[in-house]
Formats: sequence, C-alpha cells, structure tokens
Amino acid sequence: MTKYLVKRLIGAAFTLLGVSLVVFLLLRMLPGDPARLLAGLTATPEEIEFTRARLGLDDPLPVQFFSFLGDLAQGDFGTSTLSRQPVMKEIAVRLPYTARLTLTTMVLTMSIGIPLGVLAAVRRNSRLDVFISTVSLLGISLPSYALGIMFIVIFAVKLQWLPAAGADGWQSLILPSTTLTVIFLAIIVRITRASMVDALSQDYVRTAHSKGLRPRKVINTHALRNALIPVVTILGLQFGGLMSGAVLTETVFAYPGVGLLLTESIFNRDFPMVQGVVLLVGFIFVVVNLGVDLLYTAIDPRIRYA
Amino acid sequence: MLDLSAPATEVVSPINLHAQDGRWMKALRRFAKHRLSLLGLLMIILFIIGGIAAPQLTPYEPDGFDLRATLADPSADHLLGTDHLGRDVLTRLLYGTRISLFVGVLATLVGFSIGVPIGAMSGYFGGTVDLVVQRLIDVMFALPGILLAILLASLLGAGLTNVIIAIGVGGIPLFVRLMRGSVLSIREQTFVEAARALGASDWEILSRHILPNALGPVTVQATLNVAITIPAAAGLGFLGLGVPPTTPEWGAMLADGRNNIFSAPHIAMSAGVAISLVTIGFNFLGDGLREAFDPISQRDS
Repeated sequence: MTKYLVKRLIGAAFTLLGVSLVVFLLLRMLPGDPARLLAGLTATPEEIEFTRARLGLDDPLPVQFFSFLGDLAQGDFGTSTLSRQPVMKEIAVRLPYTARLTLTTMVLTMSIGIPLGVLAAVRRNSRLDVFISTVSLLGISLPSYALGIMFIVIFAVKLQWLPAAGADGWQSLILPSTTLTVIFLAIIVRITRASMVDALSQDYVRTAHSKGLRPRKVINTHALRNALIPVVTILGLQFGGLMSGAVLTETVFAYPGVGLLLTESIFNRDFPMVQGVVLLVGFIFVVVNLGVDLLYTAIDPRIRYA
Repeated sequence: MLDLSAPATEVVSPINLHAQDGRWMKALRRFAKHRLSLLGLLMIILFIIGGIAAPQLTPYEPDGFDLRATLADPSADHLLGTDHLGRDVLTRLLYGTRISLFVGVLATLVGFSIGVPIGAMSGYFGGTVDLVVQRLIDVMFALPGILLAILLASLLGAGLTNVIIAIGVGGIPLFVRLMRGSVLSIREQTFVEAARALGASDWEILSRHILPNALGPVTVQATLNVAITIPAAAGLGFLGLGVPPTTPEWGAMLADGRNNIFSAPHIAMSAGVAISLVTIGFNFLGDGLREAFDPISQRDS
C-alpha cells in the first residue's frame, strides 16, 4: 500500500510538472513577445522592459522554467495585468462560487444518475431501459453552453421563473447546475448501467440470489458495490470535463466563478490570469484523480495494491 | 436481437479475406438495425445538404444586413427572424453549417493524423518510447480539451486555421491511447509473428500488417470525435475566440443571441438548437458505429 502510494504520488508530481511545462512553453514559444503578453495590453515600453527583467525573459529557457517553478511552489502564480493584483488572490475570490456549482452538480448527478443507471440495468432491454438510454445519449450530445442558453430563453425570458444571470442566492444556482447535471447525468447513467449489467451477470450475484436473499438486497449490496468502481473512475475523469463545462456554463449565466474569470481574462488579454487559471484547473484535476485511485481501496477490499 | 446467422465463435483470420468481408458486412447489418444511428446519419446528411445548397435554399445573403428589420421576430419573410443587424438568422445558420462541419472534420483529422502514428509507435515499440509518450498523454489529459483549446486559441489569435489547430490538438491524447491499445493487442497475434519470421522490417510490419487491422476502432472514434470538435469550435466562437466577427459562425451567433436574449430570444434559441442537433446527429451515428464494430458492447438478449 505504501509502495503504491509513493508510486502514485511520484506519478502525480510528474504530471503536475508536465502541466506547468506545457503552459510555460505555450506562452513562450508561440508567436508574440511574452513580455508584452505578460505586461498587459496597456503597458508602456518601460513597463514591458520591467516585466522582461523581473521575469528574466531574456534568460535561457531552462533557467526561466526553474524560476517559474520556484514561483509556483511559493504560490506565486503571477500578477494580473488588469487589476495588478496577485493572480492567486483573485482566483481565491472566485473559487468558492465554482466549488458550489461543481459540488451541487456532482451531488445531483450521482443521486439521480446512479439509481437511473441501476434501474436501466435491472430492467435491461425493457422499454424503460431503452428510454433511459436514449435520453442519456441525448443529454451527452448537448453542449453545455447551448443547453444553458436554451434554459435561459425558456425559464428566465419566457416563463420568468428564475434569474438569467448572476449569483444572488440559491435561485441563481438552479439553472447553471441543472445545465451541467443534464450533461453529466447522461454519462453517469450510461456507465452505471453498463457496469451494473456486468456485475449482475457475475457468479456471486447468482449465489446471492440462490441463497434466498431478497432481490433488493442483492442489487444494493452485492452488485452495486462492485459496479461502482468504474463509476467512481469516470467521476474522477469527468471532473476535468466538469471544470471545462463550468467555464462555458459560468460564462453563459454570467456566474462569477473561476470559469467566468477565465473568459474575462481572455477578453482582456490578461495572460498571467489565463495561465494561472489553466494551471490551477490542471492541478485540481491531477489531485482529484489521485484521490479517486485511493478511493478504490475503500470501495473494493479486493484491491490492496500489494 | 440475436443474430442467428452469426457463427458461435468467429474465426479471425487475416489471410482469409472472405472472413474479413463477412465481418464488415455483419457490422454493416448491425449498423442498419440501429435505428438511432440511421437517424443520426440522416440528420448529418440534411445538415450537409443545407450547407451546400444554402445559396439555393435562401434568397438572402449571410451578411446582407437590413437596418429597417433588426431583431425581427420569426415571420413568413424571415422564418427564424433577424439579428441585431437585420441579417436573416436562418440564412446565417445554413451558411454556418459549412464552417461548423469543415472545422469539426478538419480538427478531428488533425488529432487523428498526429495521434494515430504516435499511438502506433508507442504500442509497437514499447519501452522508453512508450513510457515517454504515456507521461505526455497524462499531462494532456490533465488539461481538459476545451481549456487547452481556449489557451491555444487566445495565444494564436482568431482565425479558422487557428481554431482548427487549437481544437485538433485536444483530440491527440484520445487517438494516441486508442491506437496504442489497438496495436498492443494486434502485436501479439500470430500473423505478426509470422511476418517477422519472414524477415519483414518493423516499418513493413507496422504499415502493412498492424495498421490496417488497428484502424477500425480508431475510425469509429473519429466519428464520435466530430461530436466533440463541432461544439468545441462553436464554444470558442461563443467566447469570441473563433473566426472573424462577420463570419456566419454558430458560436458567434449564439453569443449575439445572448446579448439580445430579452429582446430577441429566437436568435439564441435557433443557434442553440442548430449546434445541439448536429452534435446529437454525430453522437447517434458514432454510437451506432461503435456498437456495430464492437460486438462485445452489443446489446444482446
């Protein structure tokens, strides 16, 4: 277990390093003067030169990269060219909004998606199953921002039930989180169904049935527990998708999270901020997936990672 | 739906070309039975026709503005109304089909043509090559596609080519991983061993024996990938990172619609429905293809 943990931690550290390297290189290798990009749209020539000197942009790339890493390690993600505030400080203001949105979505997705997937698997090939599977496929197909816009037209403009934008109270969380839920629900339903179908055909399920356990108990404790492993994996992998979905969804609903911060920064060509948000999302993704891997051991006692 | 004509165990033999044909025919027959995928195919064909025949289907020009009829509601003259410059929404949607399909398919080709060779080499040679490639792929997976696309597009600047590159790159890890898995399983087959025993070089084995057999699942993935690249491209357009402003592009239309959502909700709704429908079409098609070519995931009774 310890050996496995160490191995996974080293792997995760390498991925984090890689993510930093990719973001670092993109900003310096692509056309354009990085000093001008990082100093901002309104910077004077002196300010650009100051930025160049401060970040050591004339140094060889490896030297630059290590000082970049050193800054990151100290939590210094750069300075916004718009507000002149540290990037991390602004992200910290927006992060709770995004956390609220993604967590609400996760909870909704799991509490609706897993039962639906189980239902589809238990009543396999019934009309209900076909219906659930088809609607799921529809859900997967909808781009978050398009669905969000359609929700605004229906529920905010036509029916005027809910606010179209902003973050005033729980009402403004309903449309964005429903938008994201519809999309991720579909994925969870499909994975749960496939995984449950597989689990239900296992010998231990037949044994459980034949020893006279009630079907409900067999499904809940024997099959579902084993079927959940792939579901958890996908949940972890989908987290990246959820974050990118959040970027567009937050923009559609003018919901002041990290996603909207990213779009605003792109619009203002605030590259330190763009870089900071992308790095942060990459870091969160790596950490979440590390956590998912470790969760396996809790769900499935057969996995011990000797 | 039990296929009684199928033999109990399928003998996969690359030498017996007839058996190969049979497999393709069977896949085709499975595909034809999948009603949703036929519907998807039909939807895509309709969109393609709409895009090609746009000049014949509509009397308006995509950028022909009419300031006397701005933000007009849908009517007999303008079936889907007009936008803030009085341009016909349906006309712009039809012309926008060309851009969306073009960008979607080309971006997929970018991911495919970079990802497939890398994945093939990674799977075939293994060892250090594989290790390095796998680490790189892990890194790319950590940067969610649309985020990488946003970063690339904002650095490269607006323009059709840049959108295609920005979105295409995000598809690379998917193709690498799929191709690698596919090659790994074929590498161990007897016919590869036979070719090696006959003195074939690595290059010959890869290009003549492994690639043709490994491309099936990857090609299916390519169809499904278009269902990702089209909405991703429109997403960039929505964020103002797409093609130049006057171009009739779905994402940009959606952004226009959002700006006028209270005075003219029909613009946003039309663009949203168009993007959703074409994505649904490719998803339905891809889903059917996947089931047709992968008998394991087939729904059996």
